[in-house]
Amino acid sequence: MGQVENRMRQAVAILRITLGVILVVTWFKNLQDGIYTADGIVGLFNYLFNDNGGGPAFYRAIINGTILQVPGLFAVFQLVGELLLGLGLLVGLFTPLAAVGAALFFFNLFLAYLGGHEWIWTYVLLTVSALVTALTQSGRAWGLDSLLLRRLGEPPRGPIW
Amino acid sequence: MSLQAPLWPIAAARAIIGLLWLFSLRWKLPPDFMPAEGRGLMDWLQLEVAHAAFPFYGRLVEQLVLPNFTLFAWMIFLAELLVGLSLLAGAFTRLGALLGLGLALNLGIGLLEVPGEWPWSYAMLAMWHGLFFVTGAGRVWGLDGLRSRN
Repeated sequence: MGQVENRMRQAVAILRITLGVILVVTWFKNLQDGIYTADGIVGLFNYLFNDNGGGPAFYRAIINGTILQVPGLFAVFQLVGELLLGLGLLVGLFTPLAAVGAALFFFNLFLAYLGGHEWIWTYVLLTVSALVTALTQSGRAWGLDSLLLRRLGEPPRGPIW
Repeated sequence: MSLQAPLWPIAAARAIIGLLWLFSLRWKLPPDFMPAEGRGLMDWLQLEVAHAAFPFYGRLVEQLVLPNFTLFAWMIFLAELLVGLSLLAGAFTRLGALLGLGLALNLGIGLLEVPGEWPWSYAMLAMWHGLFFVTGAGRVWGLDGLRSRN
């Protein structure tokens, strides 16, 4: 691998690790703030829908019809899912899968905050970062995916490492 | 076994972040550098003074930038315009990325303690410009690539 390619691979690895750090740090903060509870989830969406934009009508309808029907169950899903995404990106394990999951999560935040007071480009940056992390398979440098690649070769069923 | 990362996703991100800078010009348009509604450049600079994470930086904005607001507002406007166009077109990308890195770090330092701001936004923004600089992201889908081929 040439020096330029090596540098590029390492650059996207830094991007992946940063995203992992952001997710894990935010996970700890959300845990302390009680977001991963039924009341926390309902409170969050009440804040988003009533005081901070709340996104387009179709998005509100989906959230009202799904997540807010079972907030306790969703809180557990979010608690586990967000941590797994963060750890996956941090250590570079099954990076494309973790990164696509993170991109969907960040795009959901983009929709949720659309039209509110937040700087919406934050969520554009996060979504784009996660997509680039997935497309560049950035766990292949400084990540466990590189070990999988060396041991098992290219994944047989799609780019999961 | 592919160890090479494709450059095109980074080039796409480069263009999107170029758009970010161009869209951000909306609330600092000359001649008054104010949007029709909401906060303008002067308001944000005053917030940086009121909530300075680093006293030195707050004093610098208060004593140097605010008294010469029009000069600095033009400098900021033009710098962001240049970075936006450079990244969008992939022209002189390393130079644009370096300037963008400086702007992103300046934003991060200035807005670190301003209520409602999320410091990770500016960390991400700075990191992306570092990434564009290191990878020469204008080589794909950019004028830099055309220039190097001719």
